[in-house]
Amino acid sequence: MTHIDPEALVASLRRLQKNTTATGIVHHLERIVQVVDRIFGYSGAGLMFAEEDRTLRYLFATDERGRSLERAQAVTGQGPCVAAYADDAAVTTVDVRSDPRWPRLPELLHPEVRAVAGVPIRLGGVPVGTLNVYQDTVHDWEESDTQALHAYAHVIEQVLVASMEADEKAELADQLQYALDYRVVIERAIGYLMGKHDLTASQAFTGLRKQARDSRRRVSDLAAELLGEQGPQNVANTDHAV
Amino acid sequence: MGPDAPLVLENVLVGMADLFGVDGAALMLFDGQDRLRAIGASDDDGILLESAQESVGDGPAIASAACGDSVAINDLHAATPLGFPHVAAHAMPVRAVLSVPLIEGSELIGVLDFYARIGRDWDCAEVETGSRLGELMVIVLQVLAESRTDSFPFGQV
Repeated sequence: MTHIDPEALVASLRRLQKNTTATGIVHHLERIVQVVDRIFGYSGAGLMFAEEDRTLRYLFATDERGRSLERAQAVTGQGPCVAAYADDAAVTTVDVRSDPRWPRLPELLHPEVRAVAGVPIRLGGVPVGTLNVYQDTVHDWEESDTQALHAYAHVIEQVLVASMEADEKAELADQLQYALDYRVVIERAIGYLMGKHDLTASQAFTGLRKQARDSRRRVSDLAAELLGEQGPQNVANTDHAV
Repeated sequence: MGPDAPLVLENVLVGMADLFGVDGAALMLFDGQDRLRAIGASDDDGILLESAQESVGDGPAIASAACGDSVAINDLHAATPLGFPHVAAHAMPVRAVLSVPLIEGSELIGVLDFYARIGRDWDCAEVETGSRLGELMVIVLQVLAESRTDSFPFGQV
């Protein structure tokens, strides 16, 4: 027995459904991470999800510095978010650049990534990924910080649950896998634009997203086209929105 | 809408109240006839608050929907215009309320209420946080709308 009126909820969702175009779970998760950034006032945030072999790969980050954090952990297999996933518990560091637990990280990190906190995202009580935030200064995390992040991760879990109707689990997995796969293409396109137009990574990514949005295309499609590669439009499911 | 949608929504409301550090969160949404309807809350007091506003046709959520902006009430029991005593009479445990409009695209789709059982001031940072959580609620509702089917398998409709 919940405190929700299902009939009223249906009536309102029916109205909402008429006015919205389905964009896919990955798009929603990206927006949710952007909101976490604004709620807490951290320097950046990101999401990592585990593959079938339990290897964490990053799905997205709010900026280039955050991308370096998630990329460095994916490459080295170590770091606060990897530990949060492995231990199924919040892991924090006052300054990841000098933390002896992860000696290989600093050389791969953007210099402005300092304090980091990661909390697990769970489905059915099992960790499937992590929500990560960072500060560009040394920061002593308090218990209230990690409690709030756990609460936010709980909301993300509910969004995943809402997308995981029994017959849609495979599609959800496909969408997440798609996003993980094509993030590499997007990164290479960012590098290409940085070199060609003398842009920062942030400028290149912002420009890429704007152009994709303006032309009503997926960022990954546009990125592949820029690189002269086969676009993800050949992937069977065209609902993916990355 | 999938069988877990009401449970998902309640869990999100509970999570948002935890995140915000308030006693509860409650939701009102417009239906197909442009009526602002009580959808649910994180606990019984939130149900009282939303039901009272729906039946009285007034309250912080109604005011927020009318002006399209946040409405912060330090004590619902205070005399008008600072409070809504006629609403408070039906939601006795609730004192402070922060109502934030839910905007999807450019359309107002409902109002999210945060509440506390003791009177309190809502500072600018808290109002801002409430607005951000409102953005989050809109995303959750979009996900629920997208996962909705016409089969209504939970059987109550």
